[in-house]
Amino acid sequence: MSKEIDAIIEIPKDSKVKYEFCYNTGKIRVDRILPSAYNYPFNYGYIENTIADDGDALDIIIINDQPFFPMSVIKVRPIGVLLMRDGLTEDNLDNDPKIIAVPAQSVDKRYKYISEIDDVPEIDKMILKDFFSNYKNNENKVTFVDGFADRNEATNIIEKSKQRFEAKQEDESGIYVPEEVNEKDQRREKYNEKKTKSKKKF
Amino acid sequence: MDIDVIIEIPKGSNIKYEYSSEKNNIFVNRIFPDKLVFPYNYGRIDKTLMPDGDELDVILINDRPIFPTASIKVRIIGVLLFEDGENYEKRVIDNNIIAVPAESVDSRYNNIRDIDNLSEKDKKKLIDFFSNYKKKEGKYGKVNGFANKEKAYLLLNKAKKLYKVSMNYKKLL
Repeated sequence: MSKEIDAIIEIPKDSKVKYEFCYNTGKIRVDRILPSAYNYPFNYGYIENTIADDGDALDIIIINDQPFFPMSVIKVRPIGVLLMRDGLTEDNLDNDPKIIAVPAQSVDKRYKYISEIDDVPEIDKMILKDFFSNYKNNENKVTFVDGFADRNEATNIIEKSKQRFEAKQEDESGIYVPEEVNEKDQRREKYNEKKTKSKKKF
Repeated sequence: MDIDVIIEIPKGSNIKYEYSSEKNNIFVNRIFPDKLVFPYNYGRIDKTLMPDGDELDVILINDRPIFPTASIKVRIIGVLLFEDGENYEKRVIDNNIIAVPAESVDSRYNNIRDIDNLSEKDKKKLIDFFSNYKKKEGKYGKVNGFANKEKAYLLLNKAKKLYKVSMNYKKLL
């Protein structure tokens, strides 16, 4: 059995609305309505205090039968990884792995028998592969699913992403903010400096 | 120009949620009688103020419910001219902005650019809901028709100005 962790839900199961958590405001945002024919087959979210390869928090898919509200926190047990790459063209794809998990036993006993990625029903794996290969259709974006990895790989990726977060925090000795926000802040600072300078003149 | 709206009430809900940006919390204000549900997502624009003391309300025309407290980029297309109050004598103007999702969010509404592009069916739905929901609670509410995009921007700018004035006033206190 792997260690239980907290996942934060962004998108409820069966939703077509792509909600995203915004670090800037601490609220959720409707990023877009998926223009493809697909709905999220499972609850989807992220793991707090992590930074994945793409600079965002590490994504997580929770295999279960109930939709959860966005922003709710749930205890889960990681069981594997969906190895995915995405990007704008086929030659330029970046790694974007997604942790696969089931609700912890204290939350839902129904998933007690799933402890490895091989225990997941074949049809659920096929659905995951189908969704993540095609959900960005009609958006001029490319995604590619390479397959699945086991529980140990999941633990490795989580550990690595946590370390990356901690390293970044020590660097900046503050809360991690995405680069976009930093740029905005810098611009604002410059603007304020200018303002104070022009005031001094008079 | 696309602006941000904070959703309070999902389409199809009969619970009137109200969002407090000060507390970053959502409150259940009241529950409507059976069979009366919000025909569209309903929300408000941050950093605005209307003469009735609330933020500027927005009706978001789209086909699926959106979770309360989520923010979404929208394109303003017009105004629903509305007045309401405890009774006829105490009525105040409570105009609502009408909007559709921005192109980057949902391209389905690309052809709706102004109030004239909104179908008669949608307009009737809005008139029906807004003229009835206050009456069912024993209050006064009346729809006076629709106005176009330009009027909507005028209304938005006024609400933004009023907000700034009120903030400056608060500072003085």
